[in-house]
Amino acid sequence: MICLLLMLSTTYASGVNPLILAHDEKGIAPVEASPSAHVGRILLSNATVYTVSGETYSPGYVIIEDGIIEQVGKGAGPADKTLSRLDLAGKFITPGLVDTHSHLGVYPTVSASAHSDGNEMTKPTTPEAWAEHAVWTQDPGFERAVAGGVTTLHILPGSGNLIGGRGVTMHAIPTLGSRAMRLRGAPETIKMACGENPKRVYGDKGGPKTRMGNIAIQRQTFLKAKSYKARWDKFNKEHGNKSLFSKKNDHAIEPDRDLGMETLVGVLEGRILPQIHCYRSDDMLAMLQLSHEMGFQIRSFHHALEAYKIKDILADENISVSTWADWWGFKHEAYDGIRQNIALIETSGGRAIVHSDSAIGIQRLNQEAAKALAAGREVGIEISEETALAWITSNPAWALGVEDQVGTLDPGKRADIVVWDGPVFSIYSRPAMVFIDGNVAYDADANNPPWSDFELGWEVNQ
Amino acid sequence: MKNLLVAISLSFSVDAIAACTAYHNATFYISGVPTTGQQLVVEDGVIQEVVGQDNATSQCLRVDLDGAVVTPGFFEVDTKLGLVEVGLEASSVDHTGGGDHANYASFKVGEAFNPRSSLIAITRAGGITHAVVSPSGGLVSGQSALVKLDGLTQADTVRDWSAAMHASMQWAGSRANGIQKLRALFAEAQAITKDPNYWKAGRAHPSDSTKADIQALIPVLDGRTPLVISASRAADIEALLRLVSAYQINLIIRGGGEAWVHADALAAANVGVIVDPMSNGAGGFSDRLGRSDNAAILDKAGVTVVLSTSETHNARNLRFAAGNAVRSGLPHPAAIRAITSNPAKLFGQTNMGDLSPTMPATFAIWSADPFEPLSHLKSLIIDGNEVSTLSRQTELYRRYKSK
Repeated sequence: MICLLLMLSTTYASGVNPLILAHDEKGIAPVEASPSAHVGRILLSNATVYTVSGETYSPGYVIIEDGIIEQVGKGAGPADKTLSRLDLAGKFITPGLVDTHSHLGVYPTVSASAHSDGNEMTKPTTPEAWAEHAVWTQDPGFERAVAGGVTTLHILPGSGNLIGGRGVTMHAIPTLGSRAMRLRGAPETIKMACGENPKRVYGDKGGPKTRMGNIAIQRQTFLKAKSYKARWDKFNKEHGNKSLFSKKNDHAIEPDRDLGMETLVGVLEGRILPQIHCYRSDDMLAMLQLSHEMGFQIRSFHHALEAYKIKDILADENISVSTWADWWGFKHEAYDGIRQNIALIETSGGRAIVHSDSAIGIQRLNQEAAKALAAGREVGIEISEETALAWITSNPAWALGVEDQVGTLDPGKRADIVVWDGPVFSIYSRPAMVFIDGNVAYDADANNPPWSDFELGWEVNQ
Repeated sequence: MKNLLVAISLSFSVDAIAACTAYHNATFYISGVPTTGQQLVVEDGVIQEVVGQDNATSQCLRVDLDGAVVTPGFFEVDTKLGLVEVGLEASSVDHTGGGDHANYASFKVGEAFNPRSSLIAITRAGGITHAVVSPSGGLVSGQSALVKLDGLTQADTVRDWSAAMHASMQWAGSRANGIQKLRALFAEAQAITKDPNYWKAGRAHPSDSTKADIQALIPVLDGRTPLVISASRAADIEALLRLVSAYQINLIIRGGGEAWVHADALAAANVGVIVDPMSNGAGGFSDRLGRSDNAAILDKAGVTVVLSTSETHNARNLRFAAGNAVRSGLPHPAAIRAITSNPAKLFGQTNMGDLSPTMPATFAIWSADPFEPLSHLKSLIIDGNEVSTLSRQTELYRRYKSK
């Protein structure tokens, strides 16, 4: 049974409607079994261990038990016959990397018009769509991502729509269906967009055509969601507590369900975490105003190339910033990007995140973080390696609401771990091994057949 | 971003103004190989000699580089630098020939090069001093320009108004159409050289190109102007080799995801390959055999390999493209050459791209290995002068750093 985390922590969250919550739970019920966690005890010994939760041990050790981190400490670790010991002297261990922004599977690496499933661009708002339903699990990009150290990734709709639909937080593992890739217990997310993309798509198709059209439609849509919630809350109050077997069951018929409105109610209730594509500082402020007006908490601005201009506001509002080390200039709203964006978010006490939004970038997220670290140091901003590591581990885990499961090497968290063959921020380093739930998801020395069926069989042509 | 000459120690005679400058106490990358114990003597913007550290150069201004790493300025050969400001703002984009016909050979993109583009200084900050900026569109896109990234006028920056001819293989839905169309255009160009009356009214062989667009192909056929063609699949590369074998075409393949399959044939035919080292076989049906050690295999077979980002706004990341090529197996010296002397050689510039006497004093001074993200550029010298790396982005940082 899936247990959804209830995000009731902010001043904005309204009471959760149990009927709507039950709809979600039913909609997320799995069919294909996810791969089970590794069974047994493993000792990763003698490496430099970055916990990203305060301590770095050099040398240090990590003990994994049944796919969960059992212990982390200084030195080579205990001599214990129940432990399957890997001597990793000279290597570097980090939590598995987390990418908050990927279109693998929905705009897959093997680009083909048939696979163009990232934007339901048939109307400006499609909160009823779920990215999970569009993920092509055979995308060869997933195996390349894990070979780059990414263990958890957030697949989301594109930014053609004002409201693109739900994203999904997944492990980078080979399964047949996308639901089995889900990180169990991860909250739902929603993708929204502001600025140029939606108005470019719909300008000649009935709108929105302008930024004012963008915001007007967002506000109107959320107001509809509030009415929807009010109707369902009333129904729940009058009929919802009556179980089937109770004498008080009045067999009342539920109101018609609207999948899009259900998703937006989840946002209003704080259960579904908003991830908002927005570049310019003025556009971000407009979305922030929207969130205040409607009563929901933005979890992360994505791309946010001008976040540095409003870094103190974003920190005060507890909004994380998912962005690139150095992309800029491809659109006018991207013209003011600077390399110190991430470092400046860090200095203001905000949560900075390095994302990829790229099948190429996801294979080298450590290099991207290194670039952002270097840009800060060049202008005299002192940032430690541990802090920079947080940009690709614990901070993105928080943005996705899974910080209790992944993102640091702490007892009780999933054994999603990367063993690097060199210093994490060196361009020459690569993962030697990657663990997901204690299973070896990638081994640089192994010569396994490709995960993806698409990559099978090309050599036998010769 | 302090001026290097203020930050480092100097020693010179107060009685005379030195004519030459001797840079020492650094690791100099000479032909890609890191070399210590040398000094680089520069005069009049040109490298005069590279001599042992102990040689007497007291008549020169002696510049102690404090253990820095020095490379020749880097050369990005596949970019639209200076031809676009904001990608999706058509009014700022100048690299397409316009229209939808096949042959734009006479289109010279250099005429639109903007030396004051905000991207130039941003690119210099990545240690890049030269670029080939190329056209796009059509089957034959036109002629690129070779530019030096220092100067405010086209006269100062454009070093070659016809660096290469650029083309692709895709036309009217099939690569076969592209190859056949190219063959037909080459035949017309050859015909026009053999028969001066070929292009006259009422002639027997009508053309859908203009006379200028056919004439512009003539120096391609005899190798005076290199021909850069985008091609990925092994089959496409084979078709191109066959196409050019009838002429003395100086072929350069751009992209070449599966070029490693034909490494020996490419080496034997003296065909250069511009490689994107980030691609590794997951692009689609065009690079099923693509692999991240493509550059390494080609280099080992003796092919002249050039590494490129194929970027414009982030051309500055060329040094990380090179670092990734090394990560995938290309030897470090070969990677340095792949972004310095190899591009110079492919585009006919024999006197640039290395730290060698008679070459321009155009070099980048780094804190450590330039391929590492944690290394930074300390100073950039072009023709003996330190150039600025201040840009719109440095000024935006300054404005907002403490708000």
